[in-house]
Amino acid sequence: MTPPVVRRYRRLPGRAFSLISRDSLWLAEDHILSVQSNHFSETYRRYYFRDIQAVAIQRTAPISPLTYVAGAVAAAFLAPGVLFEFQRTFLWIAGGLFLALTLALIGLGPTCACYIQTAVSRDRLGSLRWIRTAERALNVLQPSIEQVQGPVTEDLVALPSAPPPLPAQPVQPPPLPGKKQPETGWGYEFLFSVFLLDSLHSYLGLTQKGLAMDIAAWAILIAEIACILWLMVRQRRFEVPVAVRVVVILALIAIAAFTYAVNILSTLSKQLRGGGPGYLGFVPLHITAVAVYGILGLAGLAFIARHRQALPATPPDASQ
Amino acid sequence: MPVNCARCLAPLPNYFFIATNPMPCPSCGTEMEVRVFPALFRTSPAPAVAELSAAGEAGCFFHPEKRAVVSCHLCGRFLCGLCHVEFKGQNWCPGCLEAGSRKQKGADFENHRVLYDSVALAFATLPFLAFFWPSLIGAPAAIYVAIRYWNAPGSILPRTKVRFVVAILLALGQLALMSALILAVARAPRLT
Repeated sequence: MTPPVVRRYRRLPGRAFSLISRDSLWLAEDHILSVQSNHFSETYRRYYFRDIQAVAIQRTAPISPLTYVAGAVAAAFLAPGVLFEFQRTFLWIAGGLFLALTLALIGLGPTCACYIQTAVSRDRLGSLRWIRTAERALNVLQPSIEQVQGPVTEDLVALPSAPPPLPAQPVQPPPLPGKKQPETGWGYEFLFSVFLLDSLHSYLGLTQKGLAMDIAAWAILIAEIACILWLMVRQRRFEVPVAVRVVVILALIAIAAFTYAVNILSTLSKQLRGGGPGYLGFVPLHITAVAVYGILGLAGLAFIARHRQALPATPPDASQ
Repeated sequence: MPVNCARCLAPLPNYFFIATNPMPCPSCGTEMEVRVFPALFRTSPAPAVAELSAAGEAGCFFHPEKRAVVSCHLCGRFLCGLCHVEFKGQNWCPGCLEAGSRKQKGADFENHRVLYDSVALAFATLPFLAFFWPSLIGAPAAIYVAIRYWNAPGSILPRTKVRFVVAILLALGQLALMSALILAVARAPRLT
């Protein structure tokens, strides 16, 4: 038996990195290796040069949505740093870091979704998320593929790209079994509006105190939790964009984290100072809450608005 | 299989394939850049046909009535046109192909690998960073995983064993620190 071949893979430009996943693309002698990792294991998918039919790049946005988030966080840190004397150094440094991140994201340019097509599959290449990176990767890939398949000539392209469709053959793939209904989004609009309200409440909480503020805080908290739970149950039946789902989960984590932090800090303050009007880290926590709830609310509303715009877009007629 | 728009799935016209710049999809207006290769225009080959074997001709191991055309490069069984699978320039019988895939012989069959070095490193760091005392379990687990899977195949991508080494060093450091703490508490003078 022949010994296993030791492959030499070369990394292609582009990688996607998150807390729970990591995508990358590698070039071998005769194939491309798409690697999806959850940090503890890797899943591989190979695309042999001889099988690759096309690579399509879809422009998705002029700049990454993360840019807005980073910009909002930078503004949330820098604005109090300008207006208040409190912890100005910390606010300026944190705001500066996020501002640098915003500028870097703007510098990366427009975003894209990149797809690779073979005769039997059409998969998204998760590591290629920026137009510039995708084009760089394609410039490396194209000669390798053309070395195996040869170049595309104009007379080849002039041929029909597909056999004439049969009368009964639909252009659209058949719907998946048990496909969910599209979500109209009003429940999410309500939730994200409550987040904006929570952001406003946290901002007012910096200066205003009293029973009314406490009652409002509890009412908002209960409304948020009830709404999130209801929407998470609803997600089983209705098609919701992934971005909206992520915002809802992040919101749940943020609510839990802030509730936990407030309880810990106030208990600690009582032990150290024997009670008092505020607690340790009161102002930074409230400023962070203003920023986080504001960003989640605005981002969620933006995603839902985009989802609604996409809803009326019906698939093209097969006859077109 | 035509090239479709990524958003509306409408088939893209052929002028996309020779365009050098991104162009809007005629159906939904999404800007697309498409690079195509000759495989797109290749007609799919006709399905393999196995011919009946005549008297005196070698038959397929799996279908004795069919004429053998090749032999498996691994086990040597004679195979007909239906049974033989060409992979990486070699002829395989279905059994050897499946066995190779199951035993993951050769990187070409594998589509999943566990990164034991990352697992060991996580055992060595996360419990310590979280609450310190859970590393009483995490540190020995990190050492066990690092030693047990030192020679296990890791990623098929270029990767060194530095994570294993760091995991072992961190775990040993944590165990030493905790031993020192326990000893210090045990030897501390009692108040009463």
